[in-house]
Amino acid sequence: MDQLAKPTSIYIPNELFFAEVQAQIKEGKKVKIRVRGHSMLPFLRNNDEALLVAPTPEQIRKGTPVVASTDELGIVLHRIHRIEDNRITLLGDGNIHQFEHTSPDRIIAVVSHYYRGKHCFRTDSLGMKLVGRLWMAAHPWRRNVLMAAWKLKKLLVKE
Amino acid sequence: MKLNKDLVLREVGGEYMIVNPFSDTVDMTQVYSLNETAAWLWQQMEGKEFTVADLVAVLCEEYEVDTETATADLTELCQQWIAAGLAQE
Repeated sequence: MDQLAKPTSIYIPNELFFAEVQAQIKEGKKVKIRVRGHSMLPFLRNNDEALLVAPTPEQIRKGTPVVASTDELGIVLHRIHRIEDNRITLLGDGNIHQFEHTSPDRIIAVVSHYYRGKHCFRTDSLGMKLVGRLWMAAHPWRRNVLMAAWKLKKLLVKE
Repeated sequence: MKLNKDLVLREVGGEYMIVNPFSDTVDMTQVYSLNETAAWLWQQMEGKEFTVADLVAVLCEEYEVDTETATADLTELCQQWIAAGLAQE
């Protein structure tokens, strides 16, 4: 007989996983997910968690981190970089050239909180919005900033 | 033993996922999956008190499997469900 259960984390294709997330959000729930990948560095690391809520029209603006279905990469959690009429451009905080495109009706959720270990950050707090704006403004030089921060950390923190 | 009443089985594109839809915040940071047989057993035992012997009985009635193999597999299954919080003793 096959193994009956796998009570561990499993791989479920993004489209299926987010279909369930979307169903829960449409029922008025908040959904906590684990983030995979590094495209939202430095705000979200691989394995950090994010709390998703239903999007409201007021939240669909430049700088808001969202989960959306995109033309290029399927479903992603990235920040709104630009809005032109109904065309929304997304960019991961850790990305420089990889833009994705979506529309308001394809935004599944807005990220309301980030979680890293015991720490919780509200994405709409004044501080996070300010840092987010600064990070967006630093767009072409982000990688250099990240690299400099990483090297500085290596110098200061002896392993 | 009883299944955790806060959890429900959802079929998503042929995969069976266990989710907790009853709280305001649905935690999907760790998703539990069941294969088709385990999902079927879950459905049989929803809302009931049951033992490993009950599971063995329904499994052997539905599938061609000997009692000894079923008992071993289902004992392990129940231990996994309890350890993961999917069921309570």
